[in-house]
Amino acid sequence: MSSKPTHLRSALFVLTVTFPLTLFAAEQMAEIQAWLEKMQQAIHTRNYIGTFVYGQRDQLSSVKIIHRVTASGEQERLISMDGTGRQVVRNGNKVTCVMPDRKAVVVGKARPGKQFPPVFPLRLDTLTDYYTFTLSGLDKVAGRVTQRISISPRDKYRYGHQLWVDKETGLLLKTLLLNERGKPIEQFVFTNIKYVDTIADELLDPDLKRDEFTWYRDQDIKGDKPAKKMRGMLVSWLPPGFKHDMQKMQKLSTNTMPVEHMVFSDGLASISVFIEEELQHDPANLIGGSRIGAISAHGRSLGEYHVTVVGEVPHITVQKISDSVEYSGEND
Amino acid sequence: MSDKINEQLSALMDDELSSPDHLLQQISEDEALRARWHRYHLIRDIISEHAEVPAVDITARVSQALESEPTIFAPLHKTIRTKRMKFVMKQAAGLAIAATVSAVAVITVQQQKLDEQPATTAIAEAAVPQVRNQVRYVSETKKLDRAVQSKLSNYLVNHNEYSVTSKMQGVLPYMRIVTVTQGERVMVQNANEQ
Repeated sequence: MSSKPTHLRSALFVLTVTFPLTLFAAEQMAEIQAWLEKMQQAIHTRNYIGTFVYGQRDQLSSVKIIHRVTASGEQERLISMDGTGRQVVRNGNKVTCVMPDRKAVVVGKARPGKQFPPVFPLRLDTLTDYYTFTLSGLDKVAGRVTQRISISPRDKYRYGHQLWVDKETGLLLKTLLLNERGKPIEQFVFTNIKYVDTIADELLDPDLKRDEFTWYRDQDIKGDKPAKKMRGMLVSWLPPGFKHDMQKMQKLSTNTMPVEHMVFSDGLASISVFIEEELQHDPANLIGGSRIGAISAHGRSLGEYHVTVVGEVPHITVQKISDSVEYSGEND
Repeated sequence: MSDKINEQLSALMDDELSSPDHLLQQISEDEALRARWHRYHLIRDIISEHAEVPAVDITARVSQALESEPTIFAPLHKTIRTKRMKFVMKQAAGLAIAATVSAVAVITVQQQKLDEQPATTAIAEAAVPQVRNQVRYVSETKKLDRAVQSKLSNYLVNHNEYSVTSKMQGVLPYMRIVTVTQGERVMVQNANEQ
């Protein structure tokens, strides 16, 4: 018979099946983008009191959280529910850590200077080259209806995520970080949450008998300066999509020499490369691979330098990056 | 706390409780009971010395119970469940207090060492106690050298300030690094120079 009907059929097929599929995919992407934006906004606008469980591999902690947003900024109090009664109180940028078990209070700054990470909310248009995003239906977390969003990596160099976002408020109520075998290696789950209009000041007060504690001030706060001269070291391999985010020299209390710190990110996962001078072998430097909770680390010596790479990515990624660091010869 | 509750907790850990919803509800509401539940896991970990427990199922259970919906339970840590294990757990239920005391002893020793750590690391550790870490620290054979650990912890603190993932949920910057006191070696095929 003539091939016309077949052509027509294919054309119809393309129109009726493929086109709506693309349309559907585009719609879903727009919807996911909206969820991610809502999520980002909720973190900084909602008042709530709740309890969450945080787990890393085989470790588990239960923490009470009180979060308040006022005209003068965000305040937050975290109280450990397990034994030691440790607390973290954050008021804007100021962080106070109370450790009753050590009779110590440490006061520090939340994060230095500028806003990091630079790209927020998460931008789907760049991320979809490296991850697939899917809406995975509704679920319940802490008695709240949530929208579940799955994020899977397209290659072996990054981890996957599962997000549960409160349908009404947009707050992220549960997250899983999934390793290369799809096993959760980090999770964060609210077991109960109450949204409130106002929160009394007393609830954010760590309730200390002040003279019973020794107070420490974190002295590393002002140590960071943008580097004028880097050491001419070059990271010559990065997984596709990873871009240079930040670079600085800093003085760390555990290091005698200033450390060069570079951050690379694909918009979702971040990797730090630390380079320090090592004229004599320092036994405190990591050689080879390590895993700390959800974070992979890899270290190696490179001539008179030592390179340490850390990030919430599979071990192969930090190892390959560490191996790729080389001297570019552009030093002063 | 009554013996009956202890028995029930023990049974729950072995997935032998026929209707666990009520107990889960109690665990989620009662701090002391939750602490005990954590301790039981700790004890079992010590006894079995299994290094790789798949990530915490019980959070899902607790929140499921809170939703008061019919719950289907997946077996917890099936691989390590043996007859002998169950027997030990029943015994351990009665010994929970003794185990806590010894854990405290470990913590005290560990704390003296911790005091030497710089303030930045202290900030990282502050949010959450480290009972599980402390005890594991003693039995961990492939643990990192203390000096390496301390330096690496400091790197992690600095990394986290710039991490995108840890900022998705506002509080993760504080939570993620609380467990840094324990690192473990990962075996890598091609050895490094040196």
